[in-house]
Amino acid sequence: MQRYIARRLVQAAVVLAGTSVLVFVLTHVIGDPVALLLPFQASQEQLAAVRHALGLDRPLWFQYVAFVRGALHGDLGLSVRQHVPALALVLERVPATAELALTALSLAVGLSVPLGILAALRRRTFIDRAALLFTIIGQSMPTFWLGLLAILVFGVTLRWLPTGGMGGWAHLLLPATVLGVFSAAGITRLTRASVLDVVAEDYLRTARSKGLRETAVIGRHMLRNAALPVVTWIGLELGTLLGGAAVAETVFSWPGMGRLAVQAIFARDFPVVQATVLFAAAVFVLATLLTDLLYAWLDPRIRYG
Amino acid sequence: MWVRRLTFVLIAVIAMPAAARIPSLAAAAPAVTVAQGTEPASLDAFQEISRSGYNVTLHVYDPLFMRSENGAIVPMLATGYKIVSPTTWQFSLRRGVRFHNGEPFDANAVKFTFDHDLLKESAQNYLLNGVKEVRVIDPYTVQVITADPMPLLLFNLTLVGIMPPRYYQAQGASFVATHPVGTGPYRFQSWVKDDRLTLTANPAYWGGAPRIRTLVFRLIPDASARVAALRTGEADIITDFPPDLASSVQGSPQIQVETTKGTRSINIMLDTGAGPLRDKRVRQALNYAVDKETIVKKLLGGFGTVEATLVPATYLGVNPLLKPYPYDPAKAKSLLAEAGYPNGFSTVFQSPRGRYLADAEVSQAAVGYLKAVGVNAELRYFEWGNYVNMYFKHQLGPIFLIGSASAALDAGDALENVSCGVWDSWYCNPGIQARYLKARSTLDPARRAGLYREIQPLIFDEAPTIFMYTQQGIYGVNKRLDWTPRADETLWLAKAAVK
Repeated sequence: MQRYIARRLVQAAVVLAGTSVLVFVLTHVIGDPVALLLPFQASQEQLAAVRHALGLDRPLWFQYVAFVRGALHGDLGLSVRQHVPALALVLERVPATAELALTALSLAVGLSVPLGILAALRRRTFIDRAALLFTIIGQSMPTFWLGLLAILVFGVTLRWLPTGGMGGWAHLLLPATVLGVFSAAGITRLTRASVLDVVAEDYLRTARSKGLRETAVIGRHMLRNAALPVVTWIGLELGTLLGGAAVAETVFSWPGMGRLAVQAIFARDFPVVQATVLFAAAVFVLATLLTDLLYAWLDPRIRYG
Repeated sequence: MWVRRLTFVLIAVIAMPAAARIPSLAAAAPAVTVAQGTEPASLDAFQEISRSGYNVTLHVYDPLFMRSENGAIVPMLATGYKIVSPTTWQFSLRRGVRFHNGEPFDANAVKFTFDHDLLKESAQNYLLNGVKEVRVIDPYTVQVITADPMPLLLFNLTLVGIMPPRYYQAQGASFVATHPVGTGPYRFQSWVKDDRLTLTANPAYWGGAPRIRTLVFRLIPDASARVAALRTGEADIITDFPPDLASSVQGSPQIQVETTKGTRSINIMLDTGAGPLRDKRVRQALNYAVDKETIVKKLLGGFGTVEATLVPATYLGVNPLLKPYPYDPAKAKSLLAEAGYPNGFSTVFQSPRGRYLADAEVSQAAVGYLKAVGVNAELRYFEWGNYVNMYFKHQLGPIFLIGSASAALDAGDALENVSCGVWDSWYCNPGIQARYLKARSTLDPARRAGLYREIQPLIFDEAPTIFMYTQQGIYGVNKRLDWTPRADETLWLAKAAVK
């Protein structure tokens, strides 16, 4: 197990190194921030001076080596726009995004797992069809549109919830629900399919014929087996949620990492884009690792060597 | 049993939003809230240049002069000025003013601000880069010496907030960037980045304590969400109100849409250095070909003013006698034929998407109008970050849409785009240039305005661009506020009140 974890950690380092090259090259080929920093009245000399001050007139490989050297010491550079360390800007916004993404995930799991199980156990009934309708709508509605619709209905018309910003749990509810809907739809479908896969298995018949109560049959035997693909999916969903957060945070004015990334991309604030992407990649790699470990715990047949 | 339990969990999860009913969110808000689409990158007046940033910093820092509601220059921390020689300006300063931390305001603070390296290195350096020296004559008199005559100095000074030297030196730039101290009508209270920034009234303000006690600047990037916040009372003023939603609040007892004539001029630039666009008749034809009135009416919801040249009606030196090119496709065709292009020609039209009001749609419409007279322009859209890089590198053209605004609201800035020897011009006419340079260095505003007015008919005739329109400033305002937007689009609430 320890060897497995060590191997996965090395893989994670390779993934992060690859991500760093990719994000560095991609951000630098889409133009530089200097033109966006200066007003149109600025002269070419002023442009060149600012470009020089930011080190953007050096060869790309040189800039990359400097970036990696800094990164190894935890220094991801200064924000071009805000003149403060990029990593600090990202870390400042992590709690907000974590709060949003984890609430969204909890809502999604809390809604979709029971719905998926019910749909499978009550196949071809009203609840199954309702679940199907929910998954179709949930997966096909873009987050920004659903967000605006939710603001209009729950914020403007019903006045139940604030239209945006960060405050108490009332501020959290709309963005988290909107962000969670897409994931919830996916998890519902998968849960339903997984339960249907195991529902006719021999071991369930055996369990029932031994005289086990239905609660135990479903809880201990059926759900534990059906849970395997769902757990993997939920782990991977974190990536979807981090991506979706950029949209939900923009629509709901939620001061998180996703919006920081969007702003940084538009402003060509390279250090902040790099810091956000690297941080998100690290979180994602860690989440997949944890999912794999959880998988082994759930399924005794799986042992890592 | 299981099915029942699962059903219960499901109902609980679904019922949560309904349980979240909270009574009147707005009633509890004692403050006035402004929602903008972007927020300042920094609260250090040396660093911040965005309009949304100025809207915040100008409440904290006073400049030496400011514009009044109708655009006239009025004294703030300066009480007056004297032009000693064409390159020497003398300012007398207001006495008895203190910064929010108690530090006295005097000539040293002005010198400290104007001389500061951070200002010179920042994107604002164009405001003062003609200044050679700042001399302290006595504690309440300073002289500013410029390298060449600088007619726009006073206007530029309206954008330079005066900083407290002792505080700045003791705390350092990065601290000041999040904890600003000025002499302005509001003191800084708190800033939750990307969410809200709170200012409280300065009771000791030299201009009288503001009537609104607390100002909150909220960041709501999405325009529809800004309108939603206005409708629920979570915001009292929103900037950049989307024109397509204007009808949705019409007749509202609570909200009104307010506009200013605007300072941002949108034009379609023509690279006159090569190809058919070298011919004046072709450029005039393109001006006749595009129906600007319809574009403004249909695509901007009427929130724009068609202009005769690149100079907006709000600028010093505009020529009000000139009338815009009328929409006349027949005349356009005949001019094209006269210039040797009876069947038109093919070209490329570039446009940003999402930078200006309905920019992509305006470009699309313009391309359609050009096609109708035989000019086949291939339309290419770019994201703003790429576009502005191409602009600075002179890679746009032969036809492209761009907006420009002069901080000084001076015709000279607008005409720079069609002057010689500068990187951001695609046209040069030595005869006009001589007159332009003379106007640019004329200190007396009335004489300068007169010279600019003489130039505009020449520019109109030369048609170096397709002259389009000035985009209006559009605000959504809660009717409980007593506030009117200003000509220079600065959002200034020191004199505003809740009715």
